[in-house]
Amino acid sequence: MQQRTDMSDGTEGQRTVAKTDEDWQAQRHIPWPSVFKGLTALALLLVLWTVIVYVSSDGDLTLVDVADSFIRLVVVGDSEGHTLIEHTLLSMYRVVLGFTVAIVTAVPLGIAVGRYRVLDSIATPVVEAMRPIPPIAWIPLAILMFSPVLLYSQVFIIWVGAFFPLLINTTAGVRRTEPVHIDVAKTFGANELQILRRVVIPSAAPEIFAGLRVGFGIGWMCLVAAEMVGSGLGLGYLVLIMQQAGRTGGVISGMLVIGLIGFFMNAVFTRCEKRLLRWRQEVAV
Amino acid sequence: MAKLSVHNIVKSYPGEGTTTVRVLDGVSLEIEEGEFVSLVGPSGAGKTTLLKIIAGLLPPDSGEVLIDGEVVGLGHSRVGYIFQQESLFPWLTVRGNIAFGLEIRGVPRDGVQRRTDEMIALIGMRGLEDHYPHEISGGQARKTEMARSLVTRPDILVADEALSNLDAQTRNYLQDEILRIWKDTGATVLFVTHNVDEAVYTSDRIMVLSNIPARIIAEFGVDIPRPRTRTSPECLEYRSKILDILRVEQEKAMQRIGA
Repeated sequence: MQQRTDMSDGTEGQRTVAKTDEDWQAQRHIPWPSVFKGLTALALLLVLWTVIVYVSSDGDLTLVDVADSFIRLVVVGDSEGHTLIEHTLLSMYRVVLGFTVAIVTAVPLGIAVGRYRVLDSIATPVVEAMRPIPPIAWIPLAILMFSPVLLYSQVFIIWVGAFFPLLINTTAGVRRTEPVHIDVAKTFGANELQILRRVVIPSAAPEIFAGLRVGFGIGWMCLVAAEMVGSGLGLGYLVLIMQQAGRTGGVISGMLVIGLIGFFMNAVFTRCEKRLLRWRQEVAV
Repeated sequence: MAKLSVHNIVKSYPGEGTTTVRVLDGVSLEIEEGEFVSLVGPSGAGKTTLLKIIAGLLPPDSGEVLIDGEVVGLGHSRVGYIFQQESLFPWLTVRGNIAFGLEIRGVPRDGVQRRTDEMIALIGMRGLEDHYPHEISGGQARKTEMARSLVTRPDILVADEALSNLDAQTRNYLQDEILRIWKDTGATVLFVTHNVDEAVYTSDRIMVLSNIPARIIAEFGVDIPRPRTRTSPECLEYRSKILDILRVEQEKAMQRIGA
């Protein structure tokens, strides 16, 4: 790593902090404070588990039982023979479909609304009127609207959930574009398309990414809820039928997978963000 | 024929209520090819407005701007502009920033590469070209902006108080750098500053703008060979003459803004 002290004009000093040899050496030691924090968190989780088991009706549920139902769900499947993998893949398929539709609609619209005041004055009242309705409240209507094909209603629910955070973040990011950056592009004779592609979108990228992360989270949540109501296969449905069968271990197994996918997707977004937005001094998480 | 002619530019902005504030009141000036001209004036005298009109970023209410005798309008791209605030794109590296204008113009990739390399060498930023703007100093950022503006070989380079937010040492250093780059490229430069010292040190000619409604009220040909010494008697003489005029205008400006 190159240390930047060679500033011939000697201004402002170092804005980047380079890692010195000492820093590297310090990293080779075991970081006791974080190990301790990790262990504390684990202990707290176990305490929480014990409390929940104690207050629940299924008073003798152990972690081994959960692991047992988990394995059984993976290998044998539920009462209808559908395995956990099948449920998971189907839920993933639905969320990818719905989320893609949300990106394709919300991002271009957000850019347009953020950049052109006319569109802003038309779209904002509509958006503000729709936004207070929680996405989950759309589930019954969605099922009615798309009654022949269940998949469409699920895609619609994911879209409703992911659309607004994506739209609002994109709009905010586009609005925050520095006017001077647009002026720079204009002095080179840039046309509107070039201004959008080369200035507005890169400048709004951090906000768009934040919107993707939040939007996916909400979309995922909505899907699980929709699957509980609208049945078919899927993780939400699996959790529901496990509850109806009184299989607490199965319910928890389903919840674990739902949580893991949410966690995993968030990690993927954060990684992409760090890679693509290296130019930022810090990545907001 | 003058490289740049500005004829009788008038510009007003909406003021309080239904009133309008006339900022530029018939400004005219001419700059010859390869000349280094400074424009000094009191605070809020419409210097930025004038530059933006010259660069085709703002329309004047009346008057016209001619480059090489040709009238240019809104959206022309013959002027390289160094803005008052930092204006590098933070998402592009030094190299990406310098290449920006060429890419917008659709210059083929090898041409972009070659001319960007030339500019990086010219501003002495080799080895820093892959850094992002937040990783370089304020002075280096200014030089990169200058390179970004010059890489498309604009007819005129305008700079809007480009050095005003830098410390004194960096400013002195960059004044020399600007003079060196100006000489190397043969650019025509219009340099707006509130620093009379800077104007006298760098320019062939200095124009003084009045308080608003602004017009050009004085003009000095600086007849001192370069390199100049900031503290030489000739420099100080120009300096005091210009400062005397400016003092009166600055007082009017202060009364206007109620300070």
